[in-house]
Amino acid sequence: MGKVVVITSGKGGVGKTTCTANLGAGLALDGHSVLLVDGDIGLRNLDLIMGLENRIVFDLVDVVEKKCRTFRQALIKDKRFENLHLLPAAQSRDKDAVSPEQMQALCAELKEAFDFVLIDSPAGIEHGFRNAVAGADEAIVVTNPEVSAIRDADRIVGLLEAQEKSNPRLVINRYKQDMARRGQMLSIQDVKEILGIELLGIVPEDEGIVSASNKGQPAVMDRASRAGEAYRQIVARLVDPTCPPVGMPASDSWMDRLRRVFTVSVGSSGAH
Amino acid sequence: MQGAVDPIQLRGARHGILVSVREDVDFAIAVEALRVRLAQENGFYAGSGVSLDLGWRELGESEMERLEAVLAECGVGLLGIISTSLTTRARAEARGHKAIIGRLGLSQHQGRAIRREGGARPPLSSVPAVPADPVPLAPGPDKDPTLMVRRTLRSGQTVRYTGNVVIMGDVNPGATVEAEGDVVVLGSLRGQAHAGTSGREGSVVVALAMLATQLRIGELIWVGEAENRKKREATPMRASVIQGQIRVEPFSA
Repeated sequence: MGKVVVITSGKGGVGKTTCTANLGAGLALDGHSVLLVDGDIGLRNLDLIMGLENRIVFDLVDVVEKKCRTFRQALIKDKRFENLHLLPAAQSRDKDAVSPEQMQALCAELKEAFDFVLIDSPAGIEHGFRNAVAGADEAIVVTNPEVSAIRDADRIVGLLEAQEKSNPRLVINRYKQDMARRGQMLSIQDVKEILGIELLGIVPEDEGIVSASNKGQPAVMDRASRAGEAYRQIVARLVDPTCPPVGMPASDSWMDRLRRVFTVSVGSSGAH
Repeated sequence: MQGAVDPIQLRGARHGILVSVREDVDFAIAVEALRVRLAQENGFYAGSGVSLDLGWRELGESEMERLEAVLAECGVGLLGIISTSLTTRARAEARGHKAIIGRLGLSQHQGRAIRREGGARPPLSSVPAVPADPVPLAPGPDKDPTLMVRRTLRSGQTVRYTGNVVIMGDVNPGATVEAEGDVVVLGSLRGQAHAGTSGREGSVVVALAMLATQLRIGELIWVGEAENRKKREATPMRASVIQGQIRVEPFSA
């Protein structure tokens, strides 16, 4: 039986959907069977980031309302990976089209069929968030090194603790090392001090992410991408908790880039 | 040492039994006490209904289930839940119970008291809606009951108490501590602290790292400046009212 991991943040725009897409693709790359669930009913995005928009027939609400025979009918198989699937959100419905109990039942069914079920949570702390976390076994909190994102992440961690989703883990996204060094941005240490939860990974700011998202091609598949490298490390840590602790993100000198292009092994290869 | 203090209190109310659960007692202990109490009268309570006053306690899903199980076991219905915690109320409502905002505080004043000398119960320093047992109002900082909170308060979480509050952890930005007596934070205070909420200006706020952007004592407000930050981070500080103003100074006993 697999496990259900919710990716959440509180604040919008910190990179939940990008993170979900990349971790999903990374886990699939590593050979696991993965299902991505878009929990953002009414504002679906994950299909775009994955480049699968034109294949949607049924969605999450159809599954819950039993408009299709089984959930399998609603799944979209990824273009690149055999073992990666997407369950899209409904675009024309509202968050309360689904209840936390229905999500719990659905998640229990889904994790029988996949190694990893990743749920992309909507922003906010209301109904949509409660739906997204209802069936989750684990939680990943995504934040940016900004006071507002951290304030919201802290609120989310408190709510997760109240829901007894213990030990949420943290991904710091869009980290700019040079700005932090100059004291213009919160450092990793500052973030860790306030949130006080286990750090799963640091994803550096990378312009390539924007173009990768627009192309529907997760950056994790691009060996030369700095953010992609960070996501591969997070994947390795998700699969094997004994992986070494998080280091600083790779610097971006041309030598490093060159080295990454010629590195054959992918970050997750050390996990097995 | 505190064995004599009951974690729950039962009172007859117009529509059934009102149960007040002490806010500072481990929930498992309180539920067990409730089970024992409801069971011991040979089914006297069976068939009746109870309202639960949970104060600011944030109830987890499994705690709610345990509570329901105990009430069902004793054949007692749940009429509703009274709480100041949004989480608790939302959870109760989600499970089909009635929930109203409020806090009768019947058993709040018996918080884990730090007593300087043995003897009488810690005095009431607030005016609860219905005093459970009349204790003379004779407040004194040294005799106030003290609430120990053994965790970090995160954004959006609030602790309110009628005596002193000690937080064994941090108070993060966006979290609030309000006490009628003193506030002591054994960690970093980055959120809001309000000591002496009933207007007592002799109250103090002490923190190992005083990084709050705003402090309140009684009616006074202190707005933190950025300059002293380094020092406030490094040494324990105490905020107190001196000549009608809140001063933040290094703590010395």
